[in-house]
Amino acid sequence: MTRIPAWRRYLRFWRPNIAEDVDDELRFHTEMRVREYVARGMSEDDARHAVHNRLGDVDAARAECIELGKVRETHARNADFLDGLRADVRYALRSLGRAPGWTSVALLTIALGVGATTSVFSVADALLVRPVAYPGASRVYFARRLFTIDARRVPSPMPVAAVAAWRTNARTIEAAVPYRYADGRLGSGESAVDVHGTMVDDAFLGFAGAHPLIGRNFTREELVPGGPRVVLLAEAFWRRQFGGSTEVIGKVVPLGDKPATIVGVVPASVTIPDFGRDPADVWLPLVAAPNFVVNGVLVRLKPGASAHAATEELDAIFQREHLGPPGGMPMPGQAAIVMQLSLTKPGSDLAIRQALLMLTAAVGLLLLVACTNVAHLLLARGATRQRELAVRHALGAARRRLLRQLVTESVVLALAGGALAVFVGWGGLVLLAAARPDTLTPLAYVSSHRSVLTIASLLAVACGLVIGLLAALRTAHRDLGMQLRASASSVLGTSRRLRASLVVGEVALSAILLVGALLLIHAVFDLQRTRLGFDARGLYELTFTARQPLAGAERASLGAALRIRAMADPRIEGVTEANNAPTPHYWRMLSLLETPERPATSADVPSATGVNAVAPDYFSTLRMPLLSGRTFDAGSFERNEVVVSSSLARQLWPGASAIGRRFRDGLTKPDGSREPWSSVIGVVPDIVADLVEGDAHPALYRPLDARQPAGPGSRSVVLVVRLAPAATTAQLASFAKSLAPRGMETSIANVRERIDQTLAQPKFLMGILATFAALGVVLAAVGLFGVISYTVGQRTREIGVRMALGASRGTVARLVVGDGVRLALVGIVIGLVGAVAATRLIENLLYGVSRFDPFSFVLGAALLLTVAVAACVVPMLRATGVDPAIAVRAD
Amino acid sequence: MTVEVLRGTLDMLILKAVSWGPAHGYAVARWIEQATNDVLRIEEGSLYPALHRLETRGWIAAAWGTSENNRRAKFYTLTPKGRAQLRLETATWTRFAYAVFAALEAPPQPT
Repeated sequence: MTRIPAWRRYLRFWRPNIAEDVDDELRFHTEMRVREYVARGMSEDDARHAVHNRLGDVDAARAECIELGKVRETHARNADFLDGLRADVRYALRSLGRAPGWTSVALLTIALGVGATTSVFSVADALLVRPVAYPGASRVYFARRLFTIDARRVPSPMPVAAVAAWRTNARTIEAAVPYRYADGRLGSGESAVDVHGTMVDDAFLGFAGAHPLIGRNFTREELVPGGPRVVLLAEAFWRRQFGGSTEVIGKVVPLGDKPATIVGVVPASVTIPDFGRDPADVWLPLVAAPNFVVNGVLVRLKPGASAHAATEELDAIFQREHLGPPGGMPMPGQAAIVMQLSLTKPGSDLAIRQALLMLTAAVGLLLLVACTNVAHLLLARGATRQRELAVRHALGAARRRLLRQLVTESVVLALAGGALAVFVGWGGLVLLAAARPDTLTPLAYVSSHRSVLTIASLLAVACGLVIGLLAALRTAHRDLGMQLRASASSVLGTSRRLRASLVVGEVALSAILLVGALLLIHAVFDLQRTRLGFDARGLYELTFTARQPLAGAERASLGAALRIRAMADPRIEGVTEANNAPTPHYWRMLSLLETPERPATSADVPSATGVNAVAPDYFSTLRMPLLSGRTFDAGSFERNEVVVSSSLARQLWPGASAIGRRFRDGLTKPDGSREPWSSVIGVVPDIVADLVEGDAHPALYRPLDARQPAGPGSRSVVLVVRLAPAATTAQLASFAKSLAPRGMETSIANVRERIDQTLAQPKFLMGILATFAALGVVLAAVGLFGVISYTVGQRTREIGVRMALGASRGTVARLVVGDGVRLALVGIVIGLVGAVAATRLIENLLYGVSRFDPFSFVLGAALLLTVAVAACVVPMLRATGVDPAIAVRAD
Repeated sequence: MTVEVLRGTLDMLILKAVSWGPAHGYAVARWIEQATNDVLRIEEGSLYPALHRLETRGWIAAAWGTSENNRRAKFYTLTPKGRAQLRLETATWTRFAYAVFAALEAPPQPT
């Protein structure tokens, strides 16, 4: 655009009315022509007539001219505005550049606050706000069959026949698609990778409102048993593993034990919104044989249908079709287990929902602190510039013009900060994804959505604008003429109060964040100190896995041989054999234990009991003291002897000795038989294998024996090894490899590390909250520093007078620091009260630490107070350095 | 004999008229008549919309001033953008006119 010369805008002064101007112009023309004709000898009347004829349709011409005039008027106004804006922006940049320190603090504050908010809001958006990207997402539900155990709702498999029945009969739902998880290995030899697979039928992509990126969907023929084996790749997996090549279509890849043909690629937006699992890498055809079960069914309700009505209808159809007890989990003694069909919204059962809400709240608080700071900085700057503004006002600048200038300045600031914030937010998202523990599966669903970044930045910039406007209004609203006459310090009472309340708010918000972070830190450290019930130092689990299941005798002899060879190595202090070591994955079983004195009734609810089969020296190797009784011997298996944990002993025989007592599992076995009675020969301490679950589960130990029926671990032999203090994990790993018989794979796990890994999730949240708290404290310190420096600057003369009248440097220092500390104390008290309310959000993550934990509250307050004092040091030094002679003369 | 000004050439003539210096609408009309020896006759009703259109396009700029007989009149001047446009239109028009002359005066086509 070419610049319009400045004089053009003054045209408007002579051109108040477009229509009048056009009339003037036409009248001038008419009169000139008339004069010309009269001069040639026509009579006045004839001349007028001739001119009129010559003009033709004057009205049309006039209308067109007026129309064009209006267009020009608008153009001129816009150009005028743009010109002014350009000048303002240039002026703003120059004045921001003149105070680089001030500018960078403000920019950094906006960038950090907005950036942090953006990354956390992106996560919340993906998991809480819009968990499904399907069409009609608000009507999409999971249909699952659940039963309740230990107050937890456990999903049970769903017969695929139910889906067919619902599709034909249900009137409350529009569509239903089943899904089943099927993990496997894709590829062969060295290049084979583990993949998360999900089986779906041909209706799924339509349900998700998507089409294959390339290739095609499943066909009907591929969904019948014995049909062609095909696979769809998920977009992310396709890009990662196949470099996004279109050549993959038609390629045959080994999948599990048989080859399958790749027929298409599914876009990344398509996922099963089940945040308990990582997103699928491959999609497989759901080949529906009779009695086939699936993990769940996604249904979309018809518009207007309620979830309640749909649940009832689907349940009624389920009962009518006699789909009965769901297959896959024979559960005699069913009376105790109530199956329930339930529709749940995706994301509603998210375990970290609470934590996410907390994070969102935390980051919202942080943004508030950041905004407060920027407003405060603008105010402080506004105050020092009051004289400049007053001078400009006196020289003729209109107040509106000055206001516009101030707003432009904050807009420029906010835009620059917002631009930086996009980078901060994007980086935060990448960091968040990179630092996520494996146990925090939901984060795998968060992608750096460009739209979310845009929205968040826009919101943040709007935040900045509002604050800038407020600050600018405050600066310019008073009579600027007064400002010039008055000395600066005398009229600032109100804005000082405002600034003080901003700082108090900042300190309070930081206090809330800080207390929350300290509570989490306390909880995590407490958990790490938890007594496990055994000595985990140097304890490893060595697993030797064969390709085929091992017969009992085979396992026993292999185990014995491995133990003898391991024992011979000087780096190994102790070795024993068990079905599993006390890691978080150790085996638990659903059971309904009964004693001869107290048989199980149908009202009893089964509970989870840890079950392990162990060698006689298991307890001594793990350094678990026998609390009473004895351990196993060679005859223990025939005599059905067990060792129980102390909590199980208490549960079955409260207040009495458990030794010699008998019990069994009250649930009927699938074949209708009952378990024989076991007799207790020893009691050992409870163990903690999962720090987050905290409470020790009741556990029972059976003797490891060759005659023991093959259980789920029947392909492997597990040794529990205690390493000598000098030996390293790497040495043990290579030793384990050398130990392994041909064709067996070995894996090695440090027991303590495995247990500590259960803390990954709370630690992750703790890290994030601590980061935000630190950021909040820094921002509050900046705010405090700003207000105290400003006050000192304003009170230089007063301080000078005081010193001239004999006040010592100590008195002045106390005066300045006292000011800051007073503000900080008020803020801290408000913040602690706020924290009492806010910590309710993280209560379920504190694992036993009280949310009123005095340690965290006191430490938080002390930390903030220290920071507040530190923030006052520089202004204090400036105040005590005041030379009374100069200060009194100043101004 | 008078000829009605062809549509599209009026703009060019106006630009040429104001290229000599600031001129009001009447002067533009007079200049066109005189320069073409009264052959070209302007539909005066269309002159003013044309002037305003050119002003809106930024090819000419307008300012109110005083006429030779001391009347308030709107004077138009050529802007740099207008000058460039005039050059362009002159060149196009000249080429067009030559082509038409050439065609009209061409010898009969040998069969």
